[in-house]
Amino acid sequence: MRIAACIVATAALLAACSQKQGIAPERMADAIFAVIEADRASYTNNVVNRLQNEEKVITADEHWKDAKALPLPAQMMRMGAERVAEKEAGFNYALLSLWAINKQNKPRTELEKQGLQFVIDNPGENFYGRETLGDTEYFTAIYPDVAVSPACVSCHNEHIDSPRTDFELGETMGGVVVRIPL
Amino acid sequence: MKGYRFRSWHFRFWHWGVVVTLLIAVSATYNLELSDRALFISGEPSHGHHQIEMACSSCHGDGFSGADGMQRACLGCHAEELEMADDSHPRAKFLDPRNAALLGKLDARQCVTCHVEHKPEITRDMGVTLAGDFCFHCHSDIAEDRGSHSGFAFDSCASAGCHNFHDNRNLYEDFLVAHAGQPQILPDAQLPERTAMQAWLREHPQRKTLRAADADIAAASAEIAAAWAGGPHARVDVNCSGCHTGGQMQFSAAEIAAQCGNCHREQRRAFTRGKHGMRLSPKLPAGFVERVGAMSPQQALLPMHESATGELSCTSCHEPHETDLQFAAVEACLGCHSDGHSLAFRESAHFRQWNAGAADGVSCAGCHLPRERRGGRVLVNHNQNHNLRPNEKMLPVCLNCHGAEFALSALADEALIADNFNRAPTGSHETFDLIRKRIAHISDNKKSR
Repeated sequence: MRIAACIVATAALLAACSQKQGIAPERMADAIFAVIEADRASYTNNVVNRLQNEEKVITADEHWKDAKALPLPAQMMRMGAERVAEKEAGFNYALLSLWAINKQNKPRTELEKQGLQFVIDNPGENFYGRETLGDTEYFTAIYPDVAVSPACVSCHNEHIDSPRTDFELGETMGGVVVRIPL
Repeated sequence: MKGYRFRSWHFRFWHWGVVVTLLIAVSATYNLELSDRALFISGEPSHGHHQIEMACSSCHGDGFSGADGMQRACLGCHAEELEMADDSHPRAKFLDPRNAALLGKLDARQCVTCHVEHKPEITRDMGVTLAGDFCFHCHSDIAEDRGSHSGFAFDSCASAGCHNFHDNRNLYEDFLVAHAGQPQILPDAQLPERTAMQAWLREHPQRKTLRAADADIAAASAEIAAAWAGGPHARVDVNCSGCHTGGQMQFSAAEIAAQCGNCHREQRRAFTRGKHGMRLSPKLPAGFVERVGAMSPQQALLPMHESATGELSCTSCHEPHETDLQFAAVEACLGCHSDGHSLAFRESAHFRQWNAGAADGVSCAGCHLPRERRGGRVLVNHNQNHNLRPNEKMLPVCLNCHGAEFALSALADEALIADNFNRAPTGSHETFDLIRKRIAHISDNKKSR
């Protein structure tokens, strides 16, 4: 009996030791978002807003190649998201909004709709959930995307296709969705 | 033992099986390795790949590389073009899990979802093997966002002048708004001047112009030496031995492309991407061009003059000593091509102006080997297929001389293209009717704000 108990205890100990002490998906998503948000705010404030709105030396334009202009902050972020997707880096991210100018960037899954509404209704809070897309289960985190500079507000309020024209500085305009396959 | 030997002379059923299997294996191997591989080709390839039909491994790898290998092969040749086209549906967009449901309808991560080769019975323009209303799978709700599109048939999305799956560089709304209301012919209509020679002379001021007497191959005839001395090579200090390295006088098509490409790298790169020169592409398996030869006019799918023979290389259009660019721009093309569009060219206003030496004259090369601005330079793109499909890719050329609506109307009129634009297009283009409404809507919106 003692021997059997020892064997079971040893097996349990070995099994516990063999489990990798990985990073929880929530922590990983928070860290990824911190990088995305920092880059996005820096580009918006120190490149686009400074050069376009303050120093007025170059514009930012949706058709930045033809216009020989700066890519819009949202485009800059999507370029990064597409490069990450191509690398199959183990996560994906997207910039979405209930009031997206390009309708492809409106929420599509139920969790996206729920999460975007949550971050608008609860300023300063994030939304976490799980969803199955295709045949894969994802940990999905949604973070508020806040208007950090006057450029965000003025462009969205003035764009002909914008479904909302009364955004204010500091307001949540949409959300960054980070997905990690489980 | 004796009994066994005796019995072995009597063929049994399985003996026949072995023999037949061996015969099939031998004939299949012979067909694959030494003959025309007809047993392994399930159908005629599309017009885009028929030149390299026998370079099986350039697409199929070792035959066991699967879907990923095939995708890599497609991108190996077409990735740069897709990037240049600012692809509206890049693979990366469909790697986002939120598009997983869309992939169930149409797997846009793989080229072969829409472009299946060896299926001539279902292959349409641009090598598309899907039904023409494929946009519907993902954009069935477009009329909700764009009321102006309600009632449009989904097989009309990709009509000339509206939308393309990949390349919409000259079709996006702001572009059309900016080009609305232009006259049919612009006041300063002409193609941009080439800059390569001037740029080279500026960068190499110390290089002298050579004369006929400087020819460093003594055996050169006076006629050839005179032609060379009057041409651009002598102007840029390239002597006979610059091309006739080691005294070589006979060159294969591959050797010509390689030799010219030593200096004209960009031209060689573009030439080997088009149908004229793709058999000379360095991306094809080693030994391929030696096995099948370079492309010849008689192998083309388009109608060619019976007299047009020989292998295509740089010198098919550019006589190497004289390098007459006027000849290369029209006569060289019409020496081979005998389709209706080509035969009608001399009846067009484009040709009449060109033949009269007018600044706004247009040759075959003017449209099909477009002069492209890259930074401060203007280079001739030697891939004559580059701007053919979808045909709005031709628009940057047309816009040198014509207003956008006039040009798009012409590109949307197949009969007019067949007649080589020998008359003005009739009416306006529906895209611009929508754009005019859109401009009015934007203006009303601004006023109301």
